[in-house]
Amino acid sequence: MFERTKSIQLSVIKQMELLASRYANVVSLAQGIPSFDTPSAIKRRASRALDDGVVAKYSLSPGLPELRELIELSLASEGMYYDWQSEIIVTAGSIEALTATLLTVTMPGDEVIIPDPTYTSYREAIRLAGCEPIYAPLDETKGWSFDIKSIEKIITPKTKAIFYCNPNNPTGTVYTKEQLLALAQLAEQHDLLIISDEVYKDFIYDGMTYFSLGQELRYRKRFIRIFSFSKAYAMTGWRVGYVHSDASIIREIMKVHDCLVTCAPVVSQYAAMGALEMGAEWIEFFKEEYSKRRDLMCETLDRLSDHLVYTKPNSAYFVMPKYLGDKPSFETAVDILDKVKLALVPGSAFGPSGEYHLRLSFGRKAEDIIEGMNRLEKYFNSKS
Amino acid sequence: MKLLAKIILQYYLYLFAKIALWRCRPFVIAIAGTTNKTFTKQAIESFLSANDQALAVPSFNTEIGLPLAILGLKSGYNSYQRWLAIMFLAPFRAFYVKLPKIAVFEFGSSRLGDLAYLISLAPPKIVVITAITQRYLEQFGGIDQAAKEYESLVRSVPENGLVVLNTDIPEVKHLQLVSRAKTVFFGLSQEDISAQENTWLISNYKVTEQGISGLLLNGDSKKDFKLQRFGKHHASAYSAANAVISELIKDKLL
Repeated sequence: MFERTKSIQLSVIKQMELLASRYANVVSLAQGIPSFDTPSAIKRRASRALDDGVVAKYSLSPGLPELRELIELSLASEGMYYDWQSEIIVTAGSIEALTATLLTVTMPGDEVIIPDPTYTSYREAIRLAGCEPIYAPLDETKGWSFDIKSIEKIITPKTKAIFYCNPNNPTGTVYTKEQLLALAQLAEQHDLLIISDEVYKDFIYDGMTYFSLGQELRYRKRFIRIFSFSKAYAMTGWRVGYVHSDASIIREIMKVHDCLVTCAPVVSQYAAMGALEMGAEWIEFFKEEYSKRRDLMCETLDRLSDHLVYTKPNSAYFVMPKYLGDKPSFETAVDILDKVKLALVPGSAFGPSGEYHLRLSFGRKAEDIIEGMNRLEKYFNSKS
Repeated sequence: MKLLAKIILQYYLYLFAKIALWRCRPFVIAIAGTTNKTFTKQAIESFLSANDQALAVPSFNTEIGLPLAILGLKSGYNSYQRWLAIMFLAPFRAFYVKLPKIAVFEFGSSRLGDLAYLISLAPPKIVVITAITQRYLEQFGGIDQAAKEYESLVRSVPENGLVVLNTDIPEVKHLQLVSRAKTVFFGLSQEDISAQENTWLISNYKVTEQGISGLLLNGDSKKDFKLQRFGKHHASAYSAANAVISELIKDKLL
């Protein structure tokens, strides 16, 4: 009907949720939503701002100065040095940040390289900008890591940026410092921008270390980093995040951000201040819980080794097992939903390499995970 | 009920923080202003840490946060149990916590009267005012009211103390008129001019891929500096820290 939207699809994750809504008693391990409520200290911070009458008006377009100052401090504590006045924009979640970024740095017809599999909405955001997503397959045999050589092969004169999620959704891979530095070097050789969505960086398990190219001063003019409060602080509904980069890039993204939303929701900006001021302990608590839930999920997956093979994720809250069989993942996911009332996301939603995989979220409550995994076990055992 | 509990807690912690300060008698430096407090505090602490004089306290700056910082306790946030533990520990901390010779505290204010409370808790010998901007104006009812709040802090500094003001912001610079103490200035100059003896100015401010650089001017002296940070506020914090440290050296406190 409309030229701009004809190549854009509604996310398969949302489609599965819609299908699931037809049934009663469905257990959903589909959407990547934390089961926790926003910590009370954060809600109180927002509530105080409401009582003070400071949330009814727009904030400055890049966000409240006090929030951006806190973001600068938070980044500095992780070895990333950015000026809150000219290099940080508070956004309406990471989706707005990445959409504004893509609309800023690309022109229609450009190509943007994304890992395969990766978060499903990247593909649609790239298409919305009139660009073509080009998949760089991750190496499943090496824990879904980057293959720099295969990325180099798909770079063309139209390539504008490499855009990844670290840790990666849906595989839970944490890219190593060596891989990321090699990627940055490649970007430098071909004069490409690097866009990194790091919304799961607080949930890394088993002592794995986290590295961001934002820590490397030499790449700051080609590196754009996106973060959201949604996952780290259980604030998905508040729609607040931020983007930071060198001032020369942020100045341009600001123009698009202003066109899209004027400013991030002000009440949510106050909540984000509460998160940065008082949320650290909650992150630790969530991380510990997710780690337990991951182990809970993996115990069942281990029992299903005749049907499923998987790489144990060391971050985020997703696991992406491959099932043995040749039925496409969408049909398999629908079949599981029909037979045992368990909603999962078909791996094909995340790119061609995701085919014959299913994504399961352990962001849900432990009882949902136990019940969901029992149903999955029942489904596969009934097939053998 | 919650409000009553908060008031009781506030004055309970105040009492024991006051005892700790009375016992250790640190030389208090207060950093106040609507922005750039933490970076200025960090800049001063980085100089002091070279002399083992820094108090590594979190940047708590409120009516409950500052007593906690003095007593070396973490916030209990939303946990009654943790607040009970804090109330149990506070009396012990008051008598055993070690405070250094020079303590740098942030004095935060979002309403008229916030600073009066913090002044009564930890009367500062040196006050640094980093900025008075549009922030928190709703609660203050206007920039003049906000300036009055900071005026109270400047007035509290004794004659033998020091007031350090940001010369780039007229509302801050204007506070020199109410100061009984020696007043010095810091900031960024628009051109390469020489600074007076009582002024620390940044000139030749530049941004490179490695951070910011410039020239620190004070009287006849000129000093190159480089910081692995981005933003003029870091240059401003650096000049404020130099002003403070220079006066501490003159007074043989370092």
